[in-house]
Amino acid sequence: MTDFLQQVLNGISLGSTYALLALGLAIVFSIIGLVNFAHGELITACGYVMFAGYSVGLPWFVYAGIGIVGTVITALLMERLAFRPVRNASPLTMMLTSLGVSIMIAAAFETFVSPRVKAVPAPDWISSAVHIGGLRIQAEHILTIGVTAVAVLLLLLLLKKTTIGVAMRAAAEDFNAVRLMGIKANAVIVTAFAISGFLAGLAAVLILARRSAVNPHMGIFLGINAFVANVIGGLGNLWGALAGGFVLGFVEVALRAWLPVNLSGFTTGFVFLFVAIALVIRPGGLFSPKVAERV
Amino acid sequence: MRSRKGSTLLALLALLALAMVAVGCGGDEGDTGDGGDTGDGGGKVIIGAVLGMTGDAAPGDVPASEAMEYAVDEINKAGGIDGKQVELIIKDMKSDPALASTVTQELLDAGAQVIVGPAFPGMGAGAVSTAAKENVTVLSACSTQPEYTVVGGTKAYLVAFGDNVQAAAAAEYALEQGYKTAYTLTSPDLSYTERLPEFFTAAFENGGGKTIGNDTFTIGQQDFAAQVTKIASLDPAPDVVYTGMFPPDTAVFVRQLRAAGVESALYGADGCDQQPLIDQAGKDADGIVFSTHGYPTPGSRFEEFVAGLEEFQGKPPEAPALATTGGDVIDVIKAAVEKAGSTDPAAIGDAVAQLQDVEVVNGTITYAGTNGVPQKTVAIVEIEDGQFVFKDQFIPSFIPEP
Repeated sequence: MTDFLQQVLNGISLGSTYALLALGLAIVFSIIGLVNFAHGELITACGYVMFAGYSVGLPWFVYAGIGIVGTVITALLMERLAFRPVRNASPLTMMLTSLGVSIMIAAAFETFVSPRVKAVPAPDWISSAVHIGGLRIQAEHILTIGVTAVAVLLLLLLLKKTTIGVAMRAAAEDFNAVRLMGIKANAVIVTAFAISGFLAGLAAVLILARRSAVNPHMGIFLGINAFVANVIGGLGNLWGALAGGFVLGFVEVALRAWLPVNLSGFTTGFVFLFVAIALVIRPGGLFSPKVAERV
Repeated sequence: MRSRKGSTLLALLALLALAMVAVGCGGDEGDTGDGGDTGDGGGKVIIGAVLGMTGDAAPGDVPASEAMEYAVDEINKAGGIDGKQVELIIKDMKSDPALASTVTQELLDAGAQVIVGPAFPGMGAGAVSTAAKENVTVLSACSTQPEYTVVGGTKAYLVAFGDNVQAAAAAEYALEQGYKTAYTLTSPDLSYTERLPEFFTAAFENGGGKTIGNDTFTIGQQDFAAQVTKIASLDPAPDVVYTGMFPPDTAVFVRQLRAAGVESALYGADGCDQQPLIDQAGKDADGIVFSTHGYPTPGSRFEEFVAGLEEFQGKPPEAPALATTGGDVIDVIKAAVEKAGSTDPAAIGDAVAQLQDVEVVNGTITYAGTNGVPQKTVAIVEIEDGQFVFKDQFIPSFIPEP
């Protein structure tokens, strides 16, 4: 039983990081319909900013903070340099642009920094643990789950209580109507990218607290996971993305924990199989609202 | 809200695009030259290196290539091989197996008389089969996977020890420490991570130990909590956990293992021989034991080589032990050309197969009587107080069949 609860806790913790990533991807998609495959590279970028901070001898919480700022700046640069010029192009063009950005960023770190792993040490307290009745709760679990909860609350407040937040929710429904109300399109889109970068930065700090290292290609699979979480939850649906992230984390941990050993090596394959089955049953995503479709 | 149909279509398109990326977007590699002959290279020794300078093989091939350039420079400064200058041509195969043949053909066209292949057998297969058509031999600098010697349909050579050898050395060392039970972690992602634990178990059980359990992981896995929870619930705990996992994963794993209160020893392979492991894992890195190519004991050729390499490239090598395999491969080629007394590719290949007790950066190497996996010593290193500490160096007494 304790083992079961322990694995559930492991699942929530891993799911939290996926949820943050998925939310960042979803918020951009809901506004401009872009599946940003370079979203994972925001994690990589944050990692290298943190590595730079560590190299010059800054303490962890300082370079973690700089990392988040750096990630927001990277997200804004992506918007300005890569996505604004193709904003009115087809979704396919935007998606291919994002793939190009993803490959370019990874290649740049590989060429100009190093193809090898760089250490970004996390403080020792991250791996300290308290034991409650056989259950092991690590500081890393508390940090991950706590940061995710706070970030989601802040996002909720922003979307409900601020003008720009309301404009963003409206833009997800009908962008032209928002513009007719006198809200600048750029403001909405730039805010969406800034939030996306901020959430990715938070996720990156949490991921690096656990992995304590960065390498040029670390973002690719994280980006794919964020996308998969969105597909599970229903593309363009923020709360679906959040739930999708948790489902993905749970499924991954559950498969690793309870698949027989001769199958558990293929966990990633089973995760995708699960997604495929889920999509057959609910093509719009597990958490998509049931809406009638206009034909 | 966007229509669901649109979203589904977009999701499908996205998956298609992902698949394209996954398969690898290998592009053209420019001109292939005008198809010159392989041959005597106009009085030069021409070494072609088809390496993954970008992509998955880069963490191994880039350090090895830097060391190869240094080693060739040293040979040329000392007058070359049998008075012939050495030309090293390095071409990037982008870690793309499909590109390996094309790049190898370009090197052959440029007159390469011997080829150094990329870090992984799957990427080297194309190089071996293409080079075989012109009787050119392929050696891999840093691969340790025994199937490299057969994967191209023609005999190829490892310059590092095989995984069967290094895992057997780790097992022998573990038995010497009095360990009786082991737990292994494998990953089907690479034959390296899949087979090292198999070889370890074969040697460990041959020496009287017992592997009591096995689990799997994925390379680059975000979190090892699921596996660690299973190990922590074992009663009694295993004496040693053996895995072919390498950083950054090893550091994540060991931190979570220690946080869960597991005190079993952790044994690994040559992938662990890099400074980031200590920087990442901090005090939890202490006690990790791994097998590796060599160690900079004072006055050793290893120490001298790494110091020279640092001066040559103006910065310390990121993975010194891996880099020395680049020095080893050039030493082997030098010995083979000298033995052959010619730069004819077939003669060089025959000479490699007969080499015996050749002095290389990491001790001595013998190919005579082997299937392409050389006889070479394995070093055992332990991390103590945040430092790599040399423990032993030997050829294991029992080596499982690859």
